[in-house]
Amino acid sequence: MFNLKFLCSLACLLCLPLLAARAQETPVAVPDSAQQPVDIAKIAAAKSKKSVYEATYLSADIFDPIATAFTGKFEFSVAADVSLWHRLFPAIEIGVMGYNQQQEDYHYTTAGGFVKVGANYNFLNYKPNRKKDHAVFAGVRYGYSFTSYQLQDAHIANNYWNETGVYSNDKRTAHFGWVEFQIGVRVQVYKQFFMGAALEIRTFGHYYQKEPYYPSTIAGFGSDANTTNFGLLYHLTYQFPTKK
Amino acid sequence: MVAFLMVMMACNNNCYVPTRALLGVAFMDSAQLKPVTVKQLTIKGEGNDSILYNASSEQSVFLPLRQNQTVTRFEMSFLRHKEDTVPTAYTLEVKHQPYPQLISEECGCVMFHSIDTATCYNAQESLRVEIYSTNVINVEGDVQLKISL
Repeated sequence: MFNLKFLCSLACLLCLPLLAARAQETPVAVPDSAQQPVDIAKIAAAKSKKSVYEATYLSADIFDPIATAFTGKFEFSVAADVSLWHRLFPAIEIGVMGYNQQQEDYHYTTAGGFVKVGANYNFLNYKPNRKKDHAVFAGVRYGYSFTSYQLQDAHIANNYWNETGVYSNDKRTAHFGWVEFQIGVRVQVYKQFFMGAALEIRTFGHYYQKEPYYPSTIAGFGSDANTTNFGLLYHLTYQFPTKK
Repeated sequence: MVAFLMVMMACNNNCYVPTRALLGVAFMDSAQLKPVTVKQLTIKGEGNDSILYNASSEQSVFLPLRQNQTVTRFEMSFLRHKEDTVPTAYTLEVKHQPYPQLISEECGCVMFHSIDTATCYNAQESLRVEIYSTNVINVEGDVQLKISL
């Protein structure tokens, strides 16, 4: 769950948006004759004026839909967040998950949806006279999901009692909540288009009701409700309305 | 880059958790309410010749429940009192509900159980059995029953 492969992929993923941003910021030499006189009064006014609301961002996760081709589990989520002082970003995220595992010794289906509510805090690049709306943030979310699940045609053997059989469960729905911490970056690559990546740490998982058995995969959270799960987000974002 | 990450994700096929769900039974001193070590302990399933524990000294034991039936019985014998030299025989009867569970794609399916009732008895006496936890799952060292001696 947490090994060298994971660390390498995390490092590559978090660096990608930063590299894209640097490619956009190529410095251009301005000849002395073209420089405009500096209006000191305007600059001072801009510095002193801090608007609360700056922009709204709409994001779509592209990592999980691509991963579907390799893992067979479909996940997709969209998120919206609002920029306040370019420091605080209240956010909401909704998503869906579906997984149909047809194996030789079992057939397991699980599907559900989730919603996460919280906020991010931007540590860098928050001054009013900034040229780009990059952000390096940490955030917290509360997540809630409902997941339906069913195990069918499970081949299980008991060597001591010399028992074998094919077993199935009834379809059930579990309601689950958790706390999530995020750290990530979002960079403005071209006008209102952004790219971002984030690491999610999901913990403090809890079921809302007791069930005789629980899903092996929970929408939005992952597998094994009793442990801490890690996830990667890689998203494309559009900023609107523009603040300038 | 994305394809590289996906290949790395798909290559992890290892199972790192236990793939058996065993009933954990602990022996307790009824006066001091502390775990006690029973000696000369022998356990086997009723109707099964294979011995699970053979004349050993244990504070707790872990036993497989039947998956095609809702009652499992074990034949136990151990030194009931400190001064005993001959083991006393008991029957441990557990009524349970088996239910299959998928652990993960790597680990496969395991039969879990929910304990309904548990008794430990012979012709002379019944030992007090406390159901500490009703769920028998794939956690090593998990105790569901406590037998007071």
